[in-house]
Amino acid sequence: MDLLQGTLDLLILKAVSLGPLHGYGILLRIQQISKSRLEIQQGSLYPALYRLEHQGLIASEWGESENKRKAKYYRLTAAGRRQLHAEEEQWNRMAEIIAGILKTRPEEV
Amino acid sequence: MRVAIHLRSWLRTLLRRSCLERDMDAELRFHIESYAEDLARSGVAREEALRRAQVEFGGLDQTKEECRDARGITVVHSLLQDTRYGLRMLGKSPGLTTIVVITLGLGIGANSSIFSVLNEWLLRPLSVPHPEQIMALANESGGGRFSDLDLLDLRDQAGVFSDVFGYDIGYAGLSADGKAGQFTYSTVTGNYFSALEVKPLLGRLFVPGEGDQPGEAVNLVLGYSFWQKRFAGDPAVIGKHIAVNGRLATIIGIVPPEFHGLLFAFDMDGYLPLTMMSEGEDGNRLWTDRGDRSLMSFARLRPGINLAQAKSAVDVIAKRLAAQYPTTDKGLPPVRVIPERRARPAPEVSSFVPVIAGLFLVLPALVLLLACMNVANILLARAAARQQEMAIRAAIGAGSWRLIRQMLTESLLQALIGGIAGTVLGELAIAAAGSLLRPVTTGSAGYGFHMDCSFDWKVFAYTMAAAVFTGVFVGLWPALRAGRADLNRVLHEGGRSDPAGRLRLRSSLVVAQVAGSLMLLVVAGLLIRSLRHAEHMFLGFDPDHVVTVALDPREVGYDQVRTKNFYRELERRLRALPSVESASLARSVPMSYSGQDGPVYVEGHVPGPNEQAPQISYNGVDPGYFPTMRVPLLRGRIFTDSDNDKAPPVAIVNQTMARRLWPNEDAVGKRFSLKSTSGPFIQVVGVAADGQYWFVTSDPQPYFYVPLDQDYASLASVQVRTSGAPEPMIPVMQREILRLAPDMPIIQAATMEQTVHGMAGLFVFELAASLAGVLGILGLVLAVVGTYGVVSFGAARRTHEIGVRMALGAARGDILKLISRQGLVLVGSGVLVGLLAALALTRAMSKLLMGVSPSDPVTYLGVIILLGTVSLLACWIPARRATHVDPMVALRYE
Repeated sequence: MDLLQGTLDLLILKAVSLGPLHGYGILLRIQQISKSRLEIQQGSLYPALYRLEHQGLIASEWGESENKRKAKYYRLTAAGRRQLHAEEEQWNRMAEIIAGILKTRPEEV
Repeated sequence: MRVAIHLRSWLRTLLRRSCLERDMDAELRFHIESYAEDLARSGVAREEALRRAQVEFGGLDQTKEECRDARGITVVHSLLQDTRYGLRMLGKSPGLTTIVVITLGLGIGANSSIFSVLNEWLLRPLSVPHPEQIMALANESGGGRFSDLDLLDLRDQAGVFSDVFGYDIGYAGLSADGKAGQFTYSTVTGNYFSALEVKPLLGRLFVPGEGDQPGEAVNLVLGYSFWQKRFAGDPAVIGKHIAVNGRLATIIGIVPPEFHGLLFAFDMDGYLPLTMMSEGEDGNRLWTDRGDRSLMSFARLRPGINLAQAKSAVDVIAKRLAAQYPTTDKGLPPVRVIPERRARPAPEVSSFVPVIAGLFLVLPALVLLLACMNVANILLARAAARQQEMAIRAAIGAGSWRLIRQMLTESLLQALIGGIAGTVLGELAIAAAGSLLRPVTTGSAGYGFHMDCSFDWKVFAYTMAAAVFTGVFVGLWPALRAGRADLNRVLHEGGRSDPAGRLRLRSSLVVAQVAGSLMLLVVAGLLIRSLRHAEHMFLGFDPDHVVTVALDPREVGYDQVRTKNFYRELERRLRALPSVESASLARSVPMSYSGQDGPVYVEGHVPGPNEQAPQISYNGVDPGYFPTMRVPLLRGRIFTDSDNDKAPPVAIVNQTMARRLWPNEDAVGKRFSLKSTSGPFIQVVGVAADGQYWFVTSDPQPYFYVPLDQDYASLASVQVRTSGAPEPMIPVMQREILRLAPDMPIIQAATMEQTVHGMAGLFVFELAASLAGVLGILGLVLAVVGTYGVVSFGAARRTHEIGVRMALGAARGDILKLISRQGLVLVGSGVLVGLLAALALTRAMSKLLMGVSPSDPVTYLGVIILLGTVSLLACWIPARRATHVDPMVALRYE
């Protein structure tokens, strides 16, 4: 299933909120949580990461990966955490509203 | 907070770009390699795994570009790139760049130089704390000045002011260390420095009340540049005793370098207290005579008080004074309160200021507009040539905004270089103008001249604003076109033909240029015609072969008797000189910045309840004045030696005064008074021709003369009419004066011709005419170049068509008509538009015109003929060239 427009940022924030990850790790984490039901264009991940870092929602530093290589790790900042909460809430509200609309039957109108 | 984060991110991006690029590479490589490893682990062959990882990742370069974008690199980065690219493009066509830069430089230079003069004149505040609080007070009579008694009453009664102070200008001989020299000073009220809040550079300044009484010891404060010049900046001068006009004075302090006194464009050598004016037997008048209006007066507004409040408060006080002291102060109200900046150079001419300032902001702006249109025209033509480049750049992925930005960057670069060139040109122009101005303002008395038209942030901001406006203005159309570059069309048409729309735009630019240049030329023409009229107008006297020298024996302590004897003896000696035809003595000469006036009460005329006696200027002259100055007498007689202080008072009025006061009657024999409706009366014995008196003005002013013996003043001017050249007479007269009185300071010595062309005379008209003339010529050249460019561009575009026409048998004359018709229509419409605009513009400047109507047909006709002829030539030349097209060549060229 293709990613809904604008949700990649939210997924990234969620992924790194569970612990620092490098770019490839974030991709794997999202696939793992979504049980590979979401299709993410690999190249589009990095512009999103850079944008979030530019906005101060995530921060990065170089570290060592599990295969003993130098990798850039991203973690959530305080501002990022606040943003994640706000977006989660918004997302849930939106989902609720949309679901409500879709459940509507003809006699209820 | 957000902004700070962004800024930090940008800064890091800018400062550590290569580092970040490396990081980005490493990060992306790590991703692809990790993925490939995972694939390999799941059984894919190593080579194949890497390939698939790369493919699935997508375009690496595109991702990188998006990453840079995401970090906000591109804004700054592409600006740098645009600038570099722009500079390279400019360097590639140096000829074009030079033309553009020079054109814009001239336009911007004209603006920045004129603006820096206006800046110094009207905008630059005094170098004192809170300069906006300083107000000039101007009385309607007495040249705007106040008497000390009135000033004291204003100070006591006007709660709207924190202080009221005044000064006068004096000239003296100053001797120190056995050397004598000239010295220009302000005599100031004791509170002058404290009210202005000027702090001493060295020593101390006057304190309130100091030297405000007659007979006090004289202390002297020196101006900075005089201190540097005369005493080589020696700090030990504090406490030194020197002689000012033979009177002992003690130097107590130095003012800071940025303070020059309150007289616009002058730098005071020093400051003396009022007690300095109490010389001679006449000296006490300053403290006792409310009618002795000798102080130019200023006030500092209390914080929180606005101009309107101050005006109404001063109005009340002036009316009260007029009621309390009707003999002297009846003519006092209305007193005007003018912010100091708008009272330059003097409150009484401040009504001229907005007209001149407005005119000289509009004219150079018009020149800049013309320059812009020219450059826009050139750039439009160039944009056509660069269509292919733009289309290809668009095809390989440049967004239209990116292309617009690129073009704008180029034109802004050109405009900024033009701005720098303009600044240099402007500074050169100012320097040239300064050296022209200096002799006019300083005369031969050598006053310190100070006009600092140097660059400050206002001039800088103005120039930069002009440059940026210019850059956007000239670049916008080509840029918008570049943004719409259409690859298909360009490649299809081979970039050869030019859309008709562009020619239409360029044509309307030409119409605007012709119109603008017509306006400039009309203004220049009117000012020049007005100057010529003013030069040839009858001034009321004959300035040829006349020399005048102004003296004030009171400065060296002469009393009335001694002064009169001195002048009588001087006149006798001068008349004895071989080349002297006649000599005379008067209180002042026309256009010399001095004179006096008074309320005139006509005998037998009962004034209405709200009627004010008219304030009329007059001069005290001796019998020799009329023949020496050649003032024509129309009726009655001139003064004789028997019209002295023992004889009944008499006067000679001019035509305008005679007509206004005694309409349809013979003025000779009538009487009027300067004191009250009940006398004492002065009898009119003659009527003299009208002339120019204080300033050159277009409408005739009433004026009268009284015998000098009946109107004593120590400050006087000696006139000499010579048979030979007047200039060599100046040193001769100076020698005669010094032989009679060795320490007599000479206030001013000039030929009457110089005075007539001086600051109060024709100088303003000359300056305006020559400035407008230069701007007019600039405008004409720009318009001609613009017209020429468009017509020859149009002709070149139609080479093919012309070839076909000629091949089909069209005669040269037909082609000439075809091509020049286009130009003719443009020039014609431009002239029409310009005429309407000029008629509107010149109505506003009627104040500056002497004897010329703002819609003077000669000027308009002359300008139309000049502009028409020159621009027709600009059409004809390219049209003629078009007729020389060889049809075979033109057709084969396709």
